[in-house]
Amino acid sequence: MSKFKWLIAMLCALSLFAAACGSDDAAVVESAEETAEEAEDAVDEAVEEAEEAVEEADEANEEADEAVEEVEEAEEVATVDGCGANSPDDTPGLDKEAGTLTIGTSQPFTGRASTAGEGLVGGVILAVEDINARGGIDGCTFELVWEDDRFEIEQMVTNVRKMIEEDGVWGFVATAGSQAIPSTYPAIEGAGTPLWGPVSPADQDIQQVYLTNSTRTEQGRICIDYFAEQGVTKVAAIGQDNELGVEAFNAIEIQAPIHGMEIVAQEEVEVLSDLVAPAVLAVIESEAEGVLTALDGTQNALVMDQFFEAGFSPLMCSDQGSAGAGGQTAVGLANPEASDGYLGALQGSLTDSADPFVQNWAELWEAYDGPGSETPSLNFSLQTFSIATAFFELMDRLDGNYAYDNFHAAAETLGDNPILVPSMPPIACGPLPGGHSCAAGAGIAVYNAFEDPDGDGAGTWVQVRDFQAPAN
Amino acid sequence: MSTTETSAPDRPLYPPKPGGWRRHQTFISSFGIFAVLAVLPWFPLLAFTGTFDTGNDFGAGNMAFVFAFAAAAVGFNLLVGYSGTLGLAHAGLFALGAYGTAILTAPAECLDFDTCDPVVREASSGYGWPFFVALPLVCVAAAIIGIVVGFPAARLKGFFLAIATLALGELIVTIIRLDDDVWSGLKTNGGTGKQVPIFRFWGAGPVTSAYYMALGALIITFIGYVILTERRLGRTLKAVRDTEIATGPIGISATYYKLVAFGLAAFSASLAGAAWAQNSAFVNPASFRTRLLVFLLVVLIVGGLGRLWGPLIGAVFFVYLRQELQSTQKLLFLLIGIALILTVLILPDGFASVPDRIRDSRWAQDLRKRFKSVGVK
Amino acid sequence: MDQLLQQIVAGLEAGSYYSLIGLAIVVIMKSTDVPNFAMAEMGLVAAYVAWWLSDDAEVGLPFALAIIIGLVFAAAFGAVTQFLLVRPLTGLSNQPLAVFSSLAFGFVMIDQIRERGLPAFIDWIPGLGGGYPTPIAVLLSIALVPISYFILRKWVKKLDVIDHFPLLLLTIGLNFALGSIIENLWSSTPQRFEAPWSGETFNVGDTRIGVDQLISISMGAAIALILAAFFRSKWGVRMRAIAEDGSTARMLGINAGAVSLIAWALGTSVAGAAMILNTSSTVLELGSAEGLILKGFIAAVLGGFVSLPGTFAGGLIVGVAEAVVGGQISTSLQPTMALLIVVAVLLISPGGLSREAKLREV
Repeated sequence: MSKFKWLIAMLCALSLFAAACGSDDAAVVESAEETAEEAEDAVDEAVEEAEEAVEEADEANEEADEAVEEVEEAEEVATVDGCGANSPDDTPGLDKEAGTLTIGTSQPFTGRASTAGEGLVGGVILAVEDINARGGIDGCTFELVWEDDRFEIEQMVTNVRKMIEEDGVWGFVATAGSQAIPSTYPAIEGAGTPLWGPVSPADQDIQQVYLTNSTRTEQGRICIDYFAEQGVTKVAAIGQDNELGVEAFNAIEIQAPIHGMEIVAQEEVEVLSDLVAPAVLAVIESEAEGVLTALDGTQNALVMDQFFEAGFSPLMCSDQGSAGAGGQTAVGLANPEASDGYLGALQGSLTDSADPFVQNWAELWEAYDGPGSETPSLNFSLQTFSIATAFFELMDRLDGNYAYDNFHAAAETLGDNPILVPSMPPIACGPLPGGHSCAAGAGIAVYNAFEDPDGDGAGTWVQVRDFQAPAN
Repeated sequence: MSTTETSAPDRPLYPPKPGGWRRHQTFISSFGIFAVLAVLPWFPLLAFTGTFDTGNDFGAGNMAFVFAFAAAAVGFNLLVGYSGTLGLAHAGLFALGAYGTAILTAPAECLDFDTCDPVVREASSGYGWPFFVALPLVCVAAAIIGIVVGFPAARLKGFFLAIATLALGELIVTIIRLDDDVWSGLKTNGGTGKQVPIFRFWGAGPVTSAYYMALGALIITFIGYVILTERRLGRTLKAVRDTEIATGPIGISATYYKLVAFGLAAFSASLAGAAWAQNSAFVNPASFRTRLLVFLLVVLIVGGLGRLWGPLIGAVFFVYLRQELQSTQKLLFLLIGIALILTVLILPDGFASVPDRIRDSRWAQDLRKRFKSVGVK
Repeated sequence: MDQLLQQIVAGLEAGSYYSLIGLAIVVIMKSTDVPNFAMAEMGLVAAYVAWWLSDDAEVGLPFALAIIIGLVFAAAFGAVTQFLLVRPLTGLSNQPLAVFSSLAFGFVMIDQIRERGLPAFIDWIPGLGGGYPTPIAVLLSIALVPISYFILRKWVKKLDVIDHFPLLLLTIGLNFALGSIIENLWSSTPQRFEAPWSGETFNVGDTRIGVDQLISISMGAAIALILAAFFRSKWGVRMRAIAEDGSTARMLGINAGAVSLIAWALGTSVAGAAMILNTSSTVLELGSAEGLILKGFIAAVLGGFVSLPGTFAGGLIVGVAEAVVGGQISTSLQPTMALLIVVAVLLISPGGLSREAKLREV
């Protein structure tokens, strides 16, 4: 098209030239006029031709535009119908024709961890329903298979095998609350199935496993940091005689020397036992100023009550699961006067946070009535909802290539571009060794037993410290 | 067995054994059944059940759990069913087998990221022994501990013995859990639990290996049970069970034979525990508490106390029920409880007693009479 | 050392629960010779009922009334269990069981029809659904009720000799079922069981004692005394007679069935009292019974399975030892104390602590 413009410009220039260089000779003028007329005719013709050509070019342009549109539509169509179009055909859990990707989760829905398990299940189901309602990721909708493991090793192993072999899941999301997760390592290593969630106990050296929340040890250390900020110099720990206690004792042994604190007592309580009195009395006698506990909610409540009855009021802090921070699993069972001031670590935001993401979760949870919807412990639901949301964001970055290599490559480079879910610390996984611990840091919340702004008869938790890594 | 001179030398001491193939009935039927079980991973004949579809890891893993429970129950059967001695330390001895092999075969600690691949932290470290060196050692050690546990049997009877042995079994598990405080040399990793290194058979997958490990444990304990109960030891144990008072004067020390039974039961429990650990890949003290003993009792009683096939039938019943009813979630144990209650009300002697009940029932007797009267044998 | 008194009090409190459950076990052992593995769980059901009645957010009855109803419920529950489940296995009629089960089956069916609707229900019945026209399917479903009645009637074996293992399995199954029932009726959330004296304490010298501790200890002792008196009464003597020599006792005209019924009612209400005291002092949750049953059996063993004072003392000894050793030496040793005590005692005295215990053959 520009060629014709050029031609026209040249012709104009020539005619101007011809006109400008015209002599006063009449014949010249005449011939010039003739030439000019001829030139005008030629120009007219040329213009006509040019216009025709322009029209043709416009048409061609339009056709080209249409063609581009069609190609784009075809691309879009190709993406919607071909969920995971960039993935190898043999990617587990991926059904390209149906446009679905199957994921699995195993939770302690019944059994002795069911107070947490119900919320944990509900949060994952809610996240999956929500992402599907919004159109899925890159044309894929997600199918969730969930199983109850009752917090037992045998059932956990069986569930994972079933979900890999019979349900053909792509990966495990937010599988939480079960200390038996290491029993699944042979199965997931064999099949290459990724596991994305709060893994307990922590093991950072399995390629398939990504730990998305701070460990209990880290949370314990952050509790100790908080104690240090409050001027505590003598610190004690009460833990169950299982890995909860081990992690608390580790935390205190690592962190207390850093702040120059003295460890004055380390006591154990039997799992499922209500006889916390010996431990409580030992700690009272040690005159600790700060107490880190790693017990279940019931035992924490008993400890709080007994401290209060003894007139002993140290700072008391636990990891999120133990404290039930954000919920009533511990504080709801104790005297309000005893539980006031109780501290809990936060792996994620509180459920009444003003953050829009949390508000959105709250609205969705109100409307949800699937499994686990009646649990009073909402914080667990928010936790797995957040983990699942982070997972979906990571899947989004894969642009439809769900091959495991691609997943690991993307996950292990999150350090440059962490996943930011507003209700969790940033998730920045790196390569092994050690890089699969993706979220360092936790916050601290305090329970105000006598503040009841929403009038539900219970106190409120308030976050008093941002997500931070433990001090070194 | 030598025949002694009696006043009626032509009257045999024991009833004559049946001739022909009936004599080896037990051997033939058990060989057949175990042969079928051995080839199940290649020919998933039970695939229709879903739970026992041995064509994949899920079904094979479930069958491996069945075999492990059955192997433990066989030893339990010898002690409780056959010799009538209420030794309830079985869960603790099971734990010994699981933890013992896990600790002895775990690789040695290796923390340097550059030289060690993979890195072995203290929590998952052990002594690095080969599996089939550790296994017999652990089982023999467990047998010795089982005999020690059985010492109270000399003076205790019935429920007292039951509670005493139950307490000793729990004590074993508690000691395992206390490790870090009491003596760290045991490397049990206390209450956290320990990863179990899985022994692979010639390149087979972990679950297939666990399957054959458990099946092997079952076959060994089963053969042991058959041999012991059909030989003199078995008859002596039965005598001790039935008429203990009478055995003393004829020179049979009831205590000695009870201790032998304890040792054998402990051996099979630890063998089964080691096989179970191979399947679970992770051991944790919480798995071995009284709850496990209750499950073993269920397996034993539902299958049939004192009966040869009781343990296997009971194990199949229990694992199948527990897995099939998974989807009922909160109702799972209600349905299991109801199933157990109904089973015990209708078949108090267990499933393995069904052939006997049919044979002894009135209509079967009528049938036999009819056949006889017609002249058919 | 100044903590010692405190620890002893805590130990006495925990020990009271152990001994009460142990007493309940012994009461039932004395009459029906059944080791009731579900004893603590049955008591827990009664505790949940009492809580549900007394809690302000639920029914909200006055505390004392709720407790009384709870205990009456426990007695009734024990009696019903004996009537339906234990009688067939102890040589008595299986008729009540057959009737109850088929009726229960019928109720479950009606409930499922209500919930799912008739067509969905018919599809849900394995083997009946699909292919059958509706009226036939409905008739078949209804027919299941009398069919199950006749099956149970014919096939539930009436044992002549009390066989311990089937009875043990029965109580194990009951334990599983009750745990699940509690979870379904009241959810798995732990609850605060508020008593009028919750949280109150008083001081004896330097030692601080909770009122709930005092009540638990004194109620435990009171119940033990009541039971001891009962066993000297007419019914108690009958119970002991049945336990000593059942056939002779029956020949003398003692109604074994009635004795057994009363024993179960009594035992379950004692267990109910134990769990009510326990959960109002600590927390009411699903797992409250799990740790107690083993310690209850230990207490019963220490009492030789026959002696009430021995059981009571045994439970207290275990509780105090746990608390004192746990407090004075190391809390890690706490879980081992009960186990060590029972093994040590039995090795020294094979019949338990009581002098009147005799060695029993199983």
